[in-house]
Formats: sequence, structure tokens, C-alpha cells
Amino acid sequence: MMAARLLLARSYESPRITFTLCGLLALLGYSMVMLLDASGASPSSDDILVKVTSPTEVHGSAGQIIRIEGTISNVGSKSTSNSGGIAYISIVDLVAKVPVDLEDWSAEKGLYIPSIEPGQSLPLEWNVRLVKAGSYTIDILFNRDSDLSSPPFSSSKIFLTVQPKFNLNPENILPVAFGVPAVLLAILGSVNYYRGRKTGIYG
Amino acid sequence: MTLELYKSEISGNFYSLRGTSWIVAASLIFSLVAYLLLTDKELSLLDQGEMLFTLSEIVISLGTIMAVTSASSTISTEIESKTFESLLLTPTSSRQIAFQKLLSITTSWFFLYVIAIPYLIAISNGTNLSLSSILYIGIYGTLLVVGFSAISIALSAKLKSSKNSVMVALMVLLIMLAPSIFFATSLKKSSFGMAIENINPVSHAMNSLDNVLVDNQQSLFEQASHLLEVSIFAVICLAILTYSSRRFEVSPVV
Amino acid sequence: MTAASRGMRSLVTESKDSPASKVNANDNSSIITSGLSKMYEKLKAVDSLNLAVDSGDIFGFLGPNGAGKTTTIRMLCGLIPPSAGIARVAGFDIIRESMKIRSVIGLLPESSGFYNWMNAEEYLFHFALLYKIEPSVARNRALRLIEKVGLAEKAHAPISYYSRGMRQRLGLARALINDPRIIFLDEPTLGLDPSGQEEIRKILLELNREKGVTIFLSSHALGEVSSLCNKIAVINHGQLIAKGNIDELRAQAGVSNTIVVRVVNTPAARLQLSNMPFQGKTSEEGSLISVTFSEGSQGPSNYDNVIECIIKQGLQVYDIRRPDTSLEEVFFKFTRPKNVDSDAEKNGGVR
Repeated sequence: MMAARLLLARSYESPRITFTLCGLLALLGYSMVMLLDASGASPSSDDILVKVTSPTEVHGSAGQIIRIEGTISNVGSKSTSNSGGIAYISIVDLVAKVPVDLEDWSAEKGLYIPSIEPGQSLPLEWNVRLVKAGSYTIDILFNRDSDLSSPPFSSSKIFLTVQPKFNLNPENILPVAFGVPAVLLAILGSVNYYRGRKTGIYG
Repeated sequence: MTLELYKSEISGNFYSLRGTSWIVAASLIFSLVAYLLLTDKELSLLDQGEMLFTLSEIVISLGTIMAVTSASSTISTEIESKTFESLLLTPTSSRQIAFQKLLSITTSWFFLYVIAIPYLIAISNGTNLSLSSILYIGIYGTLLVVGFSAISIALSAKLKSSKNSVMVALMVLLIMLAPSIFFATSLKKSSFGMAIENINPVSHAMNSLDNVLVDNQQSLFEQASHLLEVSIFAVICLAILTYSSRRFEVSPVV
Repeated sequence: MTAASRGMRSLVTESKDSPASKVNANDNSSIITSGLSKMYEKLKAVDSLNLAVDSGDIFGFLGPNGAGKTTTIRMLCGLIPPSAGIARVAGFDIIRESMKIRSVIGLLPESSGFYNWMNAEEYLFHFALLYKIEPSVARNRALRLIEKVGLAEKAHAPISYYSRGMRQRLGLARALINDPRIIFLDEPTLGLDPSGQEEIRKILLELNREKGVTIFLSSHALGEVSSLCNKIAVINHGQLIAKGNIDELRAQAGVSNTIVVRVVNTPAARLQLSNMPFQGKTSEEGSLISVTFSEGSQGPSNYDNVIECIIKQGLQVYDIRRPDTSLEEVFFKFTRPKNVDSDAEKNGGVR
């Protein structure tokens, strides 16, 4: 605080210091505005925008299928910014602290977009089966074909909580689990007993 | 064509300990697996489609192992126990002998499949997968059993020794089952793994069942390519058996 | 003597005069082979075998172990293909018409397996159906054969409970289930008690006399062969050594036949024996006198001569027999290696 007062006092005396101070403040303000934009502006380029349109907080139970929806928009103006790429989802397990293998979660892991014209907006959609209970984040990502060295465009996060689902259902299975072997043994036993009587083994 | 040989093979299975023990053991395994799937806390977290897929893998694996074990010793056992000579003396051709034995083994698979149906219905209760699971397990199981049995019978007649023919036949089956059981996901996705999966009928069957039961792709049209591959395998094996069963001979005596 | 056997007698190794080609295709109960051979890699199991068995014969097929008897029988039954030569069984070629042969022959192998879970009735019924016999006929035939071979009491017991002899009887019944025209028997009385052996012999003779069934018998029981067979062939190392009836074999082997006559021991008998035109070796056995005649130049020319002479002399005969050992001698003569024979002679005939 003391240093700031001193700097302010000195700036009245020197125009250079005043100009530098103003520039720094403007830059700081712009950065704050960028950071505060909750729509997830691209960190590397400003022509592709990936947004989540389905709820960002999802609760489900294991076995359930949820739908992740989003949009990808080309907000650029240059004709060279219309190259396509792959949109995909990434799920991270917050409990195990590992990314999830989408093998069983989603049949269509990546959606290829051949091209997206400037001003065009395309819908994105994934059906995701909730395989395992836990807490997860889901991001929608887009890798542009023409700029693979840059980080992917990313949406904001979806927070997913999956409750365990117990299929405990002994009433269905007990009659079958005990009944089928019992019936089989009864049939085979009768057949062999009858056979034994016929051949004189059992008198 | 009289099916007397087929009938006596079936009767022999029912009246012998070996034949009945297979069926009873299979039903006990199904009972154990189904019970665990539906009552064990961890296992029951699986989706019902996953449970069905697990049970279907077991049904088909047990069926093919039973078929291969029976088929690979069917002729060599007759040669070793000296019953083959009297059979060859009847006006039943070698080809008829081979195909009636194949039919009896397929019938044994059918019994195992029928026993599995109540378990499939119990596990798929509440889903729309009952009919699909029964249908696809029946189709793939039958095609694989027919194929592996045909090859095994041909081996049995060629090698004339039960020990050797059972060993070779089980090795062939193990090689076919290996990608589904032993290959990690990363190896399956490699070019080598995918090449193996493309020619392996067991992989086609398992992948198709996965698509049907786990990913809910139930239509025959969606599984046509897998069905075709497995059918081609069965046809090739039948052709091999047809060729190799032109004439059976007993072991030489010198 | 049929045309076939006349053809065989003139045959050496001429393939052009193959007797198989001279066989009337309608001759339903004969076996003819010409140059029949079987090789297993470098081992010759059967070598250029030429045989002829007429319809209605009881044909004995002798040879030591490993001589090729079983291999020959298997070829004739169409179970294994020959490496060379041709053969016809019941008029059918063994290679091209093996399926037709199966319908008209029966085989009792030396060791035969059975489906142990079946009983005798089910087993015979099963085979009858495999032979495409009508079920009602099959059932009756199975029961009749079970009765015939003496298994009626154990017909319902599983075969796993059967003794060796019972299995042998069941095997014979199976060989007869299709009413064959030719039966191949490999050691049919092996494992049977004496009464069982006698029963089998009776069955075979009955089949031969009443139905004209041709019997091809391979056996080491030389007594059985000599009592049953009207023709015999001897095989060794896969090759035919000798063939013919017993007298012809003896002549080929150079073994003299013997006839033993036993008469009641009286002074008159001793006198009468001394007046016999034949010289024989005499020995007294208590109340009997045993005289052994050797057929040939110094003895009777055949069995009939002896009987004629005895009748003329008015002797009180106890029995007349031709000892079985004579066929044994023939067999050894043909199958023993030559150096063993000469050693035996040097040692005064000790075997």
C-alpha cells in the first residue's frame, strides 16, 4: 500500500510513468475479462468455440445411459479457419485420479467433422453408459486437423456423479440355480435306475 | 440313411458316466455363475448386458470344450477299444459314420444349450435381451461346435490315438480362444491383434455377442459380417471332414 | 473242383491268367486272390498271396504269429486296401465293391471290442439295424442267435459284466447277424472252455452243412483245424507256403501219416496182428494193444486200407484214430526255419 501511494505520487510528476501504469492496468483488465468468460474461450485461438449445452452437473446411477450434448461453432471470419477435425469426450475419474477408458462407456468415442464454415455451428452428441460408480469430470474436446500441434479446443467441464446400482435379485435366480441341476439329476438318475433294473444291475 | 449309429451314440451318452457328468457339471457351473452375478455385491454392479455376455461366453466355451473333447476321441477310442472293426464291416460308409458321430455331438451341445436357457432368461429379466441372447448363443454356439467337432473327428480318425488327438484338438481350440481370453485390449487393437481377430471365428462370435448384449445392436443385419465369418469357418471344417472321411482304416497289425 | 480252383492250380505268377478274372461274377461263395500283397512302408506283411476257396469249403488258414493271417483277412473283408494284387470275395472286388462284400460276410476277429453299456440283445439288435435288417426281423434274429451261442441266461446283463468266453460267443453271434455267405473267423475258440469250443464247432459245422456257408478259419488250435477243415493253407512271412487238404499237406511236408489202432488184448488178436499185411509198431497198454501204422510204402496207403484189413482179420477193435500231432508236425515242418530242422535231425529228432 505504501509502495502504491508512492508510485501514484511520482506519476503526477512524470508522464512516462503514468503511461506505463495505464497500459499495465489495461492489460490486467483484459486478462481478467478473458478469464471470467465462462463460455470457455479457446486458449490458443479465437475462431473455434466448443460449448456444453446439456446440464453441467449430472447425477445418475450405474447402468444408466446419459446424453452429453454440446455445440461446436466456427466464430472466425477467415476462410482458412474452416478445416475440420475430431470432436471427442474425455472422462476423468476424480476418485482414482485416472482418465477412464471409454471402451464400455461410449460406442462412439469420436465424431469426425469434415469441415466447419465460418459462422457455422454444429451440434455434438454422445450417449454415455455409466459403467462404474464414482465422481467424474467430462470435457468435450476438438482437435483441428490443420493445427495438430496446438492444444485441443475444450469446453467447460461437466461434473458427473454416479451412484452404485445393486442388481441384487436372488428371487429370480434361486429357483433356477437350484432347480435346473435338481431336475437334471432327477431325470438322469431315473433313466439310469430304469436302465439298471432292465439290465439286472439293481435286481 | 439309417440313423442307428447316431441313436446309439446318444443313448451311450445318457447311459455312461462321461456323458451325464458333462451335462450336470455344466448346469452346476451355470448355477454358480448366475447366482454370483445376481447376488454378489461387486459382480452385480455389472450392467445386465455385461452379465449376459459373461454367461454367454461361459456357455459357448463349455460347449466347444465338451464338443472338442468328445469329437477328438470318438473314433480313436473305438479303434483303441477294438469296436471300430466291426463297425467298418457294416454297410455304413465311413462318411456316414463320421457325420452321424458329428450329429450326436451337436445334439449333446443342444442339450447343454437348452439347459442354459433358463439361466439366460433369469439374468435378462427386465431387459429386452432375452430373445436375442437365446438366439445368438444358439446360432454361434452351434456353428462353432459343428466346426470344431468336424475338425476334431477328422483328427481322431487320422491320429488313431485318443491321447494325441485330444491334445492336438484342445490346442487348436485354445489358440482360437486365446485372443478373447488372453489378449489385452491394447494388443487386440494392434494390427497383429486385429488381423488375428479378423480370421478367428471365436473372436467374431464373442465380438458379435458383445455388440448384441452390451451395445444393444440386436438386429441380424448388424451382425451379418460376424455371422458370415463364423459360418464360413463351419463350412470349411465340414469340407475337411467330408474329404478326410472318404475311407477309414483300422490300425495296422504286423 | 470248380473252374476257379482249377485256375489256381495252373497259376504261378502270370498276371494275364489272373484267376480273379476267370471267376464267374455270379459265384457267390468263393474267395480268390491273385498276387495279393500288403506293404507297411518297407515291411511286407503279405507277399503275393494266391488263394482259392470254393463255395462251401471250411478253409483253414495257418501260420505262426506275425505271418500275415490277420492282414490277409482284413484285406479280404475290405477293411484295408491291398498294396498290390487283386481279390474277389463272393464275386465282388475287394477294392471297388467293398460295400457289397460287407453285406455278405461276417467276421469274428481275434480280439473284438464291444459297447460295454449295451446288453447282448441291444448289441445284436444294433448291428442288425446297421445291416439294414427290418427291426422286427432284427429282434427275432438277435434272440435266436443269443439262444444259439448259449447266452440266453445273460442276455440282459451289460456286456461289461461278460467273461472272455461270453464275449467270444457274442462276437460269433454278431458275425452271424446278417446271415452271411462267408464267415471269417480268427481264433474263434480262444478263451472258451472245452464245452464252449465244442459248441462253436457244432455251430460252424451246422452252418456249413445246412446253409452252405463258406468258412475261412484262422486258428492255432491245430486239432480244431484238422477236425473241421477240408482245405488248409499255410502262410509264413507273408507268403503262401503250402495249400491243399491234410493228406496233400502231409505229402508236401514229407511227413508220414500215422494211424493208431487199439484192439482188445487177446492171444488171438496178437496172432491176427502179426498176419496184417502192414508193419506197425506195437505196444501193449494193459487190456489193449496199440498198433501204430505209418502211411506210406511200408504201411497202409490210407486210412481206408487199415479199416478194410481190420474187418477182414476180424479183430476186436477198441478205437482207430489219426493222432492230431501229425498236423502239428506238418505245421512245424513248413514254418520252422530250415537250420532248426537240420539241427533237430542231428540231435535225433529232438525239437
